[in-house]
Amino acid sequence: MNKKDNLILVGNPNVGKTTFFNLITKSFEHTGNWHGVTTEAAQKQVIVDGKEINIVDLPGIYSLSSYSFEEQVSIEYLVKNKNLNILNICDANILQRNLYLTLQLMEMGLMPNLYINFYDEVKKRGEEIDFLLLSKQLNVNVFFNKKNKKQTKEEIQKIFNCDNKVEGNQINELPYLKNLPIKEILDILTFNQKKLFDLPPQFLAIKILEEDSYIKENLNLTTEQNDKINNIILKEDYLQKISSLRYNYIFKILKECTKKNKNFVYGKFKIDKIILNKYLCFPIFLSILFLIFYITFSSVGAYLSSLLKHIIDVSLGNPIKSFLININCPAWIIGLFSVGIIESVGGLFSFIPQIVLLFLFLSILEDSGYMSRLAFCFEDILYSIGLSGKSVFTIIMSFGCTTSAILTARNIEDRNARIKTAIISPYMSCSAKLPIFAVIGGAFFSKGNIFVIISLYLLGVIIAILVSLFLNKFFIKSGERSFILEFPPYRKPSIKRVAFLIYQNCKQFVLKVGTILLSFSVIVWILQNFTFDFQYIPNTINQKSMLQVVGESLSIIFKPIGLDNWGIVASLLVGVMAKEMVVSTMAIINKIPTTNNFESQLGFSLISGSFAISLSPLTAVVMLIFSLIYMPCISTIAVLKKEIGLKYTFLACCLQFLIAYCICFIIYNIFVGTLFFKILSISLVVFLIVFAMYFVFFKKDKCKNCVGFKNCKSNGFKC
Amino acid sequence: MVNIFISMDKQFSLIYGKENIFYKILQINAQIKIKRRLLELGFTNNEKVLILKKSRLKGVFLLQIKGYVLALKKKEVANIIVEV
Repeated sequence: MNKKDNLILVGNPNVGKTTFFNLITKSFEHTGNWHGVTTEAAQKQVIVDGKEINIVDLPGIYSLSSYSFEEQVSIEYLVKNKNLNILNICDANILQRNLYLTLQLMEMGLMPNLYINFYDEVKKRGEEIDFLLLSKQLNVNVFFNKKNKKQTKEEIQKIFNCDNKVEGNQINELPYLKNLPIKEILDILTFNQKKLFDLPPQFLAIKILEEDSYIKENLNLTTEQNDKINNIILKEDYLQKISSLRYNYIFKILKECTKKNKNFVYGKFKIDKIILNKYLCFPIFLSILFLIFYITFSSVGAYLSSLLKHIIDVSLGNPIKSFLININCPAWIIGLFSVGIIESVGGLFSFIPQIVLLFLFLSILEDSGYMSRLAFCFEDILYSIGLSGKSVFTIIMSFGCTTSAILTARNIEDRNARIKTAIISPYMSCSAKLPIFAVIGGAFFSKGNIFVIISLYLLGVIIAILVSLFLNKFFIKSGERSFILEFPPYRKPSIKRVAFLIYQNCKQFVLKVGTILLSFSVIVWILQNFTFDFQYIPNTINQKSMLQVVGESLSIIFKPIGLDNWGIVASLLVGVMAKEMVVSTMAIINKIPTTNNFESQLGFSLISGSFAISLSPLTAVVMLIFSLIYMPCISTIAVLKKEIGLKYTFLACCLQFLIAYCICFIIYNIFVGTLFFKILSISLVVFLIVFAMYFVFFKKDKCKNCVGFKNCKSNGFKC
Repeated sequence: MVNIFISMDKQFSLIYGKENIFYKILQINAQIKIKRRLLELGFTNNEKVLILKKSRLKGVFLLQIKGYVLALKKKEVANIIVEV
């Protein structure tokens, strides 16, 4: 690979690497104003001055010693591709800490170009940075962002055109290294060892002094060498010395190059006193969440949805149907189009406004910087149920789409907490389950449906907490673990970014509806309207369609929870493919005629009892709860398998089905079951309560000094 | 001699620190991995650190160091030895 044709973006978390990447490649990778949004290296080619340049966006790292998953990704990438052009992106607000990584890159023998981001923010405060002097001192090219986009783009052009000024080994020029016994370490190493990864030997020496296990393992040191090295290392606390030296060097340079306002603290705001307040933080969070859900699902969102549905029907549904009748199509084609396609798929399109609103709010939350504060507020509580404070990101994103949310769990340092977070995120009701709640809940509870929806969301959260506690106790225990979270400043969400995020999600939704869901609708419709001998049976009751046969044979499983209707079983089965399909399958099975009021028509058909699928208020509740948790959709299962492995995915799915089944069993049988089932379900509840009590009262008392629940007698250092 | 003892007594883990008071870092007593990370984040010797907030259950500390704000768990904060 040619050096000039590649550009690797490296930097601390949340300095705007991906924003920069999106700006030059005109792509729309996910960004956000919190840490660790990017979890995988993204690549894209752009053409600059007729040359094709490959740009790689790496996850944010604090340093070149592997600590979390994303850092490992970055480091391995850098070691493999050290000959490529590297752009080190820094945040002008916290230049001091950002340059620490720069120095490490330089020690590694890389020659990064610096790109100072957020210079406008610094300038607004009256601070200044002398870029020329900085460039001279560090011996690297320095670029910075300008006031407007156009100038910034011109600056970026320069990055592609420039050469790295200094060739050769830069490591000798870092003056602070003179104070370290690098030569003595190098004398111990053999010639071959010095050539490890083709990195500069000085870098290896520094890493040995820092006791970096990754480098040490790869060096295959002999015991003799190890003893000699230990002799040197034990003389002084080199880990502390090296970082002090680096920081002092940076401090010295920055003192000359910058004019800094000393009182300014990055990420410290007065409003945080209220937001992080002991008593106010949760009410504030809950009211924000309630406001979002109220606007999305009840007032504005619901109105826009019905409006769009009306428009689709008037402009598309009715004309197509009358056209098909006019040209004398066979009855089954008319049926396929009006019920199989327009009603089921068109019905789903009307949920676009709600999806737009949900993602609008989620992206504003993400951009504002509030997420990090939330993680701080929730760390205590989430830790006690075996998760991490950062799980709060994943959990909130799960309300949008579980599939993409599970990917964000990667920025949790602890592996066990990561697995647990991924397992519990399907319990959060994702946006695809909304149609189910809207239709069934709307039919049975009409105006009170907003409360039904909220309680379903809450139920999901409560079950998730219990599941996490259960997993933490029996399967995936989390020990002590660390938690490092930087506070970003509050920033205004970029309108363009929010708009594109919404656009992207809508596009995804439309594509999904237009391709997968459309084809499944057609398949389901065919299964429903044809027998196994391929006879078209639109309205006969004597013959059974393929779907009915399958549904009936499976309905025995669902009989104990009251969902023995074959249509419901069939739609739940289809729902595993995509949750949106549950409602559209119901519409197909109930053969809802084309009208301009699809939702209420379908809802009415569920109540009336004369259609294939009918529900009583009790079975409606059971159905709502069951569809909330019974199984993640197929794309979520795929992501889970990729992220946490087959074993845990299997566990997660089984657990979800079991929990859904148990809850529904209890609810259904307490009200209408036979005496035996009533007793069984009541004893099940009693058993669960006793089981839970056992752990509340007979739990082993461990030293919880580190968690902070009780005062601990042992001193703080050892605990 | 007396003076030395007094100064020894003044050394304590940052978890015993109070909110809104600056402390000077003396050393970090931790496993190599955590120590390295803390040093990278700027907890070097003689650096000033301020506790902005302790969370409700005192499990998480919000610290101000080197001009930025950082949340750390009690377990890590316990490793930071400071004096007033």
